[in-house]
Amino acid sequence: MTSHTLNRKQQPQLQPTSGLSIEEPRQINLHNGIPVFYFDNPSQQAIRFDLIFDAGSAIQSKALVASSTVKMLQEGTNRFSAGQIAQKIDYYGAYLDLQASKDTAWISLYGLRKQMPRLFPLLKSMLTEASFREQAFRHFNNRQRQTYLLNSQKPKHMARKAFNGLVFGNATAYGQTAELTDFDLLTEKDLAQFYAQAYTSDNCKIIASGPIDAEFLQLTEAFFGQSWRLGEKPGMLSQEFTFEAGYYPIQRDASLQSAIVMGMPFLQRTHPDYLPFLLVNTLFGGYFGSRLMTNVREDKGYTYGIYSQVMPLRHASTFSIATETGTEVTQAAIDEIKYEMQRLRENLVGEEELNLVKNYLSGSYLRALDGVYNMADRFKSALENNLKMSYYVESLDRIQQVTADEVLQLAKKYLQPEQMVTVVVGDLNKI
Amino acid sequence: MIHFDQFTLDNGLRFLIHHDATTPMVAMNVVYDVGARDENPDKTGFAHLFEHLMFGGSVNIPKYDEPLQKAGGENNAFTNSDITNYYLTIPKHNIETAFWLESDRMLSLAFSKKSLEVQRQVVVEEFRQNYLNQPYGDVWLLLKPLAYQTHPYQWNTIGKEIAHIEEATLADVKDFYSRFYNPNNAIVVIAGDVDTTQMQQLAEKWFGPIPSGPDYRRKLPQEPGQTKARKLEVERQVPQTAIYKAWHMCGRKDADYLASDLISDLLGSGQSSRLHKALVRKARLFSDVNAFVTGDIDPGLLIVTGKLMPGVSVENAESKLNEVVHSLLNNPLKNDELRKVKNKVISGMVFSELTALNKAMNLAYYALLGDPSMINTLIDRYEAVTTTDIDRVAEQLFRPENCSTLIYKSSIK
Repeated sequence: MTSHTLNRKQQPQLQPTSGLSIEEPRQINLHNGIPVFYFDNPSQQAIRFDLIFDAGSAIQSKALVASSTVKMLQEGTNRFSAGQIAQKIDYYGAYLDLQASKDTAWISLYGLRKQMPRLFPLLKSMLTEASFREQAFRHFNNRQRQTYLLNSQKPKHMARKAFNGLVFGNATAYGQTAELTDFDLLTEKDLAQFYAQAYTSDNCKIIASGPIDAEFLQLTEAFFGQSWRLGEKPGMLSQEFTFEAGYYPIQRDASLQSAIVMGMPFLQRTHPDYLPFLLVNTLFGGYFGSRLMTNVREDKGYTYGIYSQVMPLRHASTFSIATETGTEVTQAAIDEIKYEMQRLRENLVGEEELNLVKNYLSGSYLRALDGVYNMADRFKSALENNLKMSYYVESLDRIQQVTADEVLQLAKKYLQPEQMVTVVVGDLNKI
Repeated sequence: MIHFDQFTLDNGLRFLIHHDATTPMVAMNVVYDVGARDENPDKTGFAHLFEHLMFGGSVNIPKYDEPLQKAGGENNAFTNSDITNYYLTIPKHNIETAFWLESDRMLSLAFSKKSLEVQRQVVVEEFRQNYLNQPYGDVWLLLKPLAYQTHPYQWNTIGKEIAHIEEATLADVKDFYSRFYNPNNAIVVIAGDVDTTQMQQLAEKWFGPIPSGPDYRRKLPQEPGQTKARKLEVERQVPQTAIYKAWHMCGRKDADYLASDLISDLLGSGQSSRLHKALVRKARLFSDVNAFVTGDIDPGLLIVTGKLMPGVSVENAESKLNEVVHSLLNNPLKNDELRKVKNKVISGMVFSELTALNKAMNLAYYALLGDPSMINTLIDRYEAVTTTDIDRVAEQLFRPENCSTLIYKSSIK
């Protein structure tokens, strides 16, 4: 090789990332109407199997109900004790993930294809005959309380929780947050009732990814194809709320750092500004090369990390900036965040930076859709909002069309610190 | 079965290429054979600080991240006691940018004063964020020096104290770089829809001209066998009292490593494990328990941890915890219990081999351990572990004098 002709200063010629080629999942419907969406990769040995219910916290009438219900599904059923469920999950080398968000709750099972016939009886029993016994509930609830107490000491968690209440309103569908006393008010009957209403076959969707063949689909039909507990699910609580911007300091004694969350309620996915703003968010604080990271971390060294994000929900969304900074530089960091907003409001972004962000996003979409599990993840999020996979192609196309002038206009509209709440958790006397 | 090709450049840099046509991205993983154990005891935290500086510009390229992002790529890195590992993924048609970037920072850094000053501050904030300003954040800062009195594993990757990071100089940086960041001390793995011949050409082109450096011969002080149980008790503003126990075990390359790993799984992996069943579900003394091995290359630790339910006394909790651990010695293992933890290990490996990046990382690590084909043989080696092996290794491990205990007491009443 002729090393003397090697020009190390020059980046090798780049090729534009070709457009996304995304396939919609294939779909069958079980006899009871449950749609099964699947992404097939016959060369894999392991399956990811998601059961999704409209059973998020937005429809709970009491704090903690949605998340406790889904987590307690593995604490015993009429057929299997908690110990038996744990024993079988472990013995067959599987992993179970039970979670609730604001809009949905889901049960994800990860396991080898060949073990699915031995794992499905557990899943079915959890869905149709969970027992919610008082003894088991009390112990479960006590352990959950300990996790809550632990999280209540983490500055980032404290700030995020306060932000959530401020941005949605404490008594609304999306804004409700649990307090310690809510653990005393919760009973196993609340969970059993929520389960009866929300974990029904007509409220269920399935996404399967991995080696999905006809035999596996038959197995799915055999275990989940009969209707169970048809009933009326609770409606979403009111989201009526008037947002108020402002500064919300929270004292955390002897804190060495301040956790900052700054932000506001944001647009729904259907708003014409939503997609182009995703580019503005990336440029501003959405990746490692962002304005915020470059300034606050890589130039000033105030923090280990700083990010901004748009978090979409079914009927709302938020835009926020979050970081943890040294106590003594808290105000300086907030000033820099505001300064970076101002810069984007007042100056056109250069073509080079704009193109860099577009290229980065093309790669990042490609990465987010690489492999059937990632596709299942993206589809799950699309499904929550009644969208298809083609949404991702459309959104990337729209992002690629954003101009510098559009960035400026969007920044003027949405990057206004006086329209935001600023939550600071830290040792306030030292800030 | 994961296939890979191998070649070595004249300067000693090793390459492994794994072909995976199912992904549009290519992963490149560069591992340097240097970690926190190679640090000077008075300048700890340096390997990790140095990892940050590897992003502060190299001799011909002022910024590492920008050109990579322009190519649609993304990267990160981590440092532990044994290794420093850099990885990226990039759309396959732009793979040459990865060669260009990684070869330039292997050739030489920019050694910018500003970058050092800023990254020192960033790492200090990282230290605060992850170790000092979180509940239970300082556990490892307490436990490692309790368990190790001689070996460099006594300090954490982040460093013994913030002062060590604040005092790092540009001369330290240059010295560290010239000692460790040489082609003969690194391994590159590429995984994706790539062709070995083409990768070899690119490797010669970009990495071939880098001169090799001095061979690093590791001569670390080894930890003598522990002869007396150790105990440390601290009090902190945390919601629950916690117990941490550490037993010295063999190193990663030792024949008994896999048996030790399975022992930790028998005790603490999953909700059907002995600890969880006995102490969380039945006795309700703990809200959660865990057991794991540190996985270090030199002799490591088997750790058991648990957080106490309110009102449970430390004495009672600790004695029940010890009972369960010792149940492995006097309560013979049933075959299906061993089968269970092996199944979990095997499916865990299947899950860890789903992405090109994970395969690249695993290959690099096994190559560094001395045998990349371990990625294919490890399952059989786990299968070969018998209940007799478990009994024998458990006997060696769970001697009372081999244990260090940290009682992390809650001061909240």
